[in-house]
Amino acid sequence: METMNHESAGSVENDPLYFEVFESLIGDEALDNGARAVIDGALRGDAAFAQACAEDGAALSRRAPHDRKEPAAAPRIFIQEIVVEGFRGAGPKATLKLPPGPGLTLVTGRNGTGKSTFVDALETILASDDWAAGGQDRKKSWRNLYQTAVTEVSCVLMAEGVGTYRAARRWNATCELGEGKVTFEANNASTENAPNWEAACKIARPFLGHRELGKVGEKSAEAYDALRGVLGMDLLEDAASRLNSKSSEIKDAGSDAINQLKDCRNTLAGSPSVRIQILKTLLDEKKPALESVVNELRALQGERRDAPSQLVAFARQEVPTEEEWDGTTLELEVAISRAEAVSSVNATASVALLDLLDLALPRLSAEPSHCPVCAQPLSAQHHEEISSRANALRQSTQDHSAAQSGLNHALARVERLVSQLPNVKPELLAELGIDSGLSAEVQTLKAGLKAAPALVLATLTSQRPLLGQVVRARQLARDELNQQDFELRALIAPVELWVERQGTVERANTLRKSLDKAKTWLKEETQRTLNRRFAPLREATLENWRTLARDSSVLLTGVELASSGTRRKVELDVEVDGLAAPGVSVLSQGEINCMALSLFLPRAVHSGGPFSFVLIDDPVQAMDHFKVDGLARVLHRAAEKLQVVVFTHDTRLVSSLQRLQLPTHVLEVRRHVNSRLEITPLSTPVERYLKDADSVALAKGMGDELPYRVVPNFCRLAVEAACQEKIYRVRLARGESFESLEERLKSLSLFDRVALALLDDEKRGSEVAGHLKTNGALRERDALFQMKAGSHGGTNATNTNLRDLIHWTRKLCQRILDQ
Amino acid sequence: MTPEELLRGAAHLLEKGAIASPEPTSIQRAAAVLARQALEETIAERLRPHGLDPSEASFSAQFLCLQGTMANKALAREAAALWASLSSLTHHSGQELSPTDKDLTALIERTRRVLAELG
Repeated sequence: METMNHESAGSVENDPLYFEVFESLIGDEALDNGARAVIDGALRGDAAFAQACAEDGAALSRRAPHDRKEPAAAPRIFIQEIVVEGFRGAGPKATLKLPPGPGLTLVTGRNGTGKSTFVDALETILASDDWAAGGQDRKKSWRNLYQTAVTEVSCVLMAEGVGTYRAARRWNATCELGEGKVTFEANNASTENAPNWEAACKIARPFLGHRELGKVGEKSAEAYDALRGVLGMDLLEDAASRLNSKSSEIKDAGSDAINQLKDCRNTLAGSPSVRIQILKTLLDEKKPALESVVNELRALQGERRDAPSQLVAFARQEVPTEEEWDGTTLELEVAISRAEAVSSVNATASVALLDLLDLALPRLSAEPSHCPVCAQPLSAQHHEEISSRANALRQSTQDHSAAQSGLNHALARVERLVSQLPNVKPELLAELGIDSGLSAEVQTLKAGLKAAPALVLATLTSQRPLLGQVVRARQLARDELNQQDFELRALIAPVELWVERQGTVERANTLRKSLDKAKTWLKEETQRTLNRRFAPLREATLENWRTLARDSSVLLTGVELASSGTRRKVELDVEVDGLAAPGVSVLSQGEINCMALSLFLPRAVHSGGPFSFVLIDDPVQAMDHFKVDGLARVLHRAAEKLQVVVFTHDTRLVSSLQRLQLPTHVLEVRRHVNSRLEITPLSTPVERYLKDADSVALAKGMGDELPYRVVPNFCRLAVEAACQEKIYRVRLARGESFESLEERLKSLSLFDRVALALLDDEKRGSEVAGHLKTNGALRERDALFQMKAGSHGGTNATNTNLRDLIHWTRKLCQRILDQ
Repeated sequence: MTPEELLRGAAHLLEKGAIASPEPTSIQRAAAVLARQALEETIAERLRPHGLDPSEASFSAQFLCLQGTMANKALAREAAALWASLSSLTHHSGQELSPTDKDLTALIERTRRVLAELG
């Protein structure tokens, strides 16, 4: 089952689920093209979805990608070793070596010996945040009490076809839990590119502990999430999320638009403006015509028809500036002054005289000695005097003309200046709060321009304050106009917002229909996919339950992942004695544990993630003997594909696995002084007794007598264990029950037990010695007698060679087991 | 060896550094064996005057007899329980895990008290 992280649209194209859904999408003829387009966009990511929405659900033009690529299977990763130092229950460095590859390993040990420390260490490396979140006490008690200088956890993982990964987390004495330095090596070379194991753990934690086992029943939603994660439904869930989000966005916009329209109607209701009331009438319609409203708004914004024309004219009126006023006044003053300077000149007479002189002077030049009028003789001096006078007259005439021209120009400028003063009606001035006399004063000023220039100058000078009053009046007019404009804008602004929102809503109408269809289709497709992908997990769960609860009255007939809105749960169809039961509430704690294991072990097998191992902490709790046997079978089956490591203090599981002859690697964790952990492989009971006997025989410091009191006892126990193993193997295969055999063996003496194992009849204990002799096993027979005598100290057997006793005991055990 | 000697031997095996062996767990089991033998021999001594042959009778039979012949029934039950505990530590029966030094030291001390009371 593939699980992929779709952070970019590109990665979606490589997801087999995308191909599956795409083919359904284009194959469903009932679905319209608009819905197809938005579903495809939603599947391919945010950008593609935004584009599909922008095109208003336009038809899907994409075709199915031709080069469908099956994702390369991730290399299977197994644990080779876990090393802990100064962490949790481990003081000095301790290493748990595991056979990498599929198979079952049991790590046994009494409570508090540090078994779970190895589980915690691996979880800290693979998913530190997840581990820290597993309990408040973890943040306080992650360091070992005895060794605090250095804390380090590391693991060696073997990836098929890749090599080995070594990952470590190391803390110095002052570090907090979250500050551990992480190092990572691939094939003994350090690298920065560590695999994203944290993400893989989020999809399917390779740990089954109390957190998971407690999720069945009351925490069914968590169980749902934990199982659904491995089904790789992210693609569809993300797409559904995009569709829902966009759909909500449009729906919210529609609701907002309705509320905005109500607000607009209320806002406009109080306005006396005719134009505003026209706008309100448009908005009061059941479905206001957006185009009409827009047109009316444009008209309001452009013309402001409701403003009084006089006010607008006055506000727009150009008024002379003070500089212009003063400049004009000065020019008039200068012009008057110049005019006055030449006022003594009789311009008309001077011009007439000059004309005469100008006529006479050429004649005088032709006949200089006589006057052309009276013919009197003229002197040369006289001639010069006339010329000089003519020149003086010419100059005077020109000066007079220039002064008059300047005065006229100044007066014309005054007229222009004054004409710029507006003719404002007294009523308008009164509305603006200004003395209406200003209007009359302006008229008087204008009328006064017909007076003599000096009077005009005097009026201009005296009436200069009038200019200030006019300017102030115009400013008031402008303020009034702005106020009216502001009020208008305040009224129409909400309408403009509504127009924008309503426009969005109306434009999204087609898209909304497509989205609704898309949501329905995708929901159904998601459920179909979920059922298809959950099918192998469902079958495995049912099979696990059948195995685990073989003799239970509880029948598990179905498992479904059910969700409705935000409610999620794992539905378990349970029957008790043939009657349907209301969920898991009828189950005992042991049965609930079985149910949880039935559910979660398949998750580990089907996760599709990189981890091909699962660490199970204390699964046996509250199970009876029958269930433990079932558990042994279920674990063994899971171990055909996975590396299954079980940590337990309850060695009924060890017994069960040995009894059922299911191959298992057993390790025992022992805790010594200062949290020193010792991990030793646990062999069969026969081998262990013989090893005990060997150890005692070889130990130095035991003295002479003590070994003789102890070794025969261990030899006897080894033989009894060999008998038990043989009896169970043979008789369980015949269909006898474990309980009856256990009870039967309890009361048997050593020889009777050997008789049952060797001769298949416990009543033939007296024949055992003869049987061994007949079969050439005299030394084994002697060893049997020696261990019987010595095991409980009844005989001083110091004359026995302990090494020989152990040797022949081993031979006897082999004979019992092999015969 | 007397029961007292056996018990001293058991305690000796648990003394730190007394025994050189690469398999400390086997030595622990040996201590349990010796303590159990000390208890068995003491009980045998108590039952012989009543005509019981300890070499023939099973231990469950011996403890039933002990309860039948002793006025202090609680002590008889304690002796039986102690024997069962020591036995379980000597066995590799799958259900039992390796004993710890603390377990054994406590059991040997209990054995010493029971032996003293059995007299």
